[in-house]
Amino acid sequence: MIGEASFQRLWRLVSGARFDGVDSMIAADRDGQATAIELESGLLLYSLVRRMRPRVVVETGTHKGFSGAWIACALKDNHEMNVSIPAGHLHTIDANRYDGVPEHLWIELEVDRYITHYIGDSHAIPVPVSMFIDFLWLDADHSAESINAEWDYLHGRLADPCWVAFHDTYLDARMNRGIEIIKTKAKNKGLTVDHMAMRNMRGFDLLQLHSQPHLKRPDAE
Amino acid sequence: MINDLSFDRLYELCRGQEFDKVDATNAADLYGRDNAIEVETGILLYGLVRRIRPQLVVETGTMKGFSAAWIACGLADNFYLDTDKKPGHLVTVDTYHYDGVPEVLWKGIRVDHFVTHLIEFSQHAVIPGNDPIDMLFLDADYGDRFPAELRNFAERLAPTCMVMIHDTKMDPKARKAAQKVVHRLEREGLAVNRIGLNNMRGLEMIQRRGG
Repeated sequence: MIGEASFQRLWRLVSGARFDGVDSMIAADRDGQATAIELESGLLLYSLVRRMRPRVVVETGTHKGFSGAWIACALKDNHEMNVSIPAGHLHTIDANRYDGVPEHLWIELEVDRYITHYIGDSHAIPVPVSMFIDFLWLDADHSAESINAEWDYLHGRLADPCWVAFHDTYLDARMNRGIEIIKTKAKNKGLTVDHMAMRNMRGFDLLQLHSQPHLKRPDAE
Repeated sequence: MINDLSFDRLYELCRGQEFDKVDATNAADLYGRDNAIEVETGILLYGLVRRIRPQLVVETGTMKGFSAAWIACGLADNFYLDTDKKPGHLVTVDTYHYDGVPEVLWKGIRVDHFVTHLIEFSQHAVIPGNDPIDMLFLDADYGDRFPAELRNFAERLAPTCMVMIHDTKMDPKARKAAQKVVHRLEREGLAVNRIGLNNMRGLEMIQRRGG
C-alpha cells in the first residue's frame, strides 16, 4: 500500500474472491478457491510482513502461490519504501509444482524476484545455510508429525526473535497437537514462547520465539 | 479490500505517507504525521479487524482519527461483505476534539457511521450498550490515569478480547501499562496470550484466553 502499483497488485489478489456465506472470503478459482488461504488470512500475512519487516520468510505449502503472493507483495512494498536496505525474500516449498501456476501469478504481480520456489519435501527445504528465518509460515501437511518434522529440520535456523505462523488451526485439530509439541520443544531449548490464536475462519495461530522475555511480569520488577 | 470503494478508502489513508528514514512510514501531515500511528500499524489494525471480525472495538487516544479510520475501514468491509450480520462498531475516546478533524476524515471516507467519538477522560468513558469489548486499542496517556482507565474497561472485555498497546518500544510507561494489563487479567485468574512487536514504535498484543 505505497502507491498505485502496490494497490493494483492487491486488487489483483482480491479480484474474483467471493464471500463463502459463513465468515470469510475465498480466493478466485484461478488462485485455488477454498483450497487457498482465506483472503482475510492473506491480508493478515501482508499486514504482518509490512509491520514486522522480516528479511527471510519461509513457507511450506506453496500450493498455487496465493499466500506466497500476499507475502511477496509486502516484501516488495517494504523494499520499495526503503531501497537502501536489502530486500526481504520468501522461500516456499511444495511437493507439487501445480503446472507453473504460482510462477505465473508472481510474474503477473511483478513480485517473482522476491520468491524462490522449491519443489520437494517440506521436511527438508533447502534454504541457504547463511540465512536465519525471521518468519516461518507452515501450511503444508497438517499432521502433528509433519509439522514436527518441519520444525526439527528448521529450528536451528530460526532468527531471534522468530515468528512462526500456522494455518487451519481451527479446522484441523491435528495442528494444535503439533503446535503444543513445538512449544514444548522450543521451551526445552530455553526459548520464551508467546502464542496468539485466532480460532475463527479456518484458524490462524502465531508463535513468537525469542531468547529473552520481552515483557517482564510486574512481580519481577 | 472488497470493492472499489474499499480500496479508495485505504488509498486515501495511504496518500501523503512518508518514510521516516528509519523503519516506518509516517501518515500524511493532515492525519497527524508522526503523532499518528505508523502506516504499517494502521495496516495491521485493518488486517486484524478483517481477520478477527470484532463486534465492538474501543480505542483510547483518538487524536486526529487516523488509527480509528483504519479500524473503521475494517469494520465497514466486514459489514458490506455480509450485511445480514450486525455491523461492528468502534468507540473512540479522547479528551480533545481536535477541531473536528477526525469527523472530517471519517465522513470523507464514508466510515463515520461505524464510529462513536467520545470527548472525555477514558477512565470515565461510558461505552454505549452492553456488548463485550472484542478489541481494545490503547494509545492515550499511560501515566497516573492508566490504572483507572484499565479498571473502567476490564469488566467489559470479551472472553477472547485482544488488547493492543501502542508505543511499547518508545515509551517505558507504555511497557508498564502492558504489564499492568497482563497482571490485571492474570489476577482475575484469566490465562493470557501475548505477543510483542518491538520494532518501529512498538506494539504489544495481549489476548484473553477465556473463550
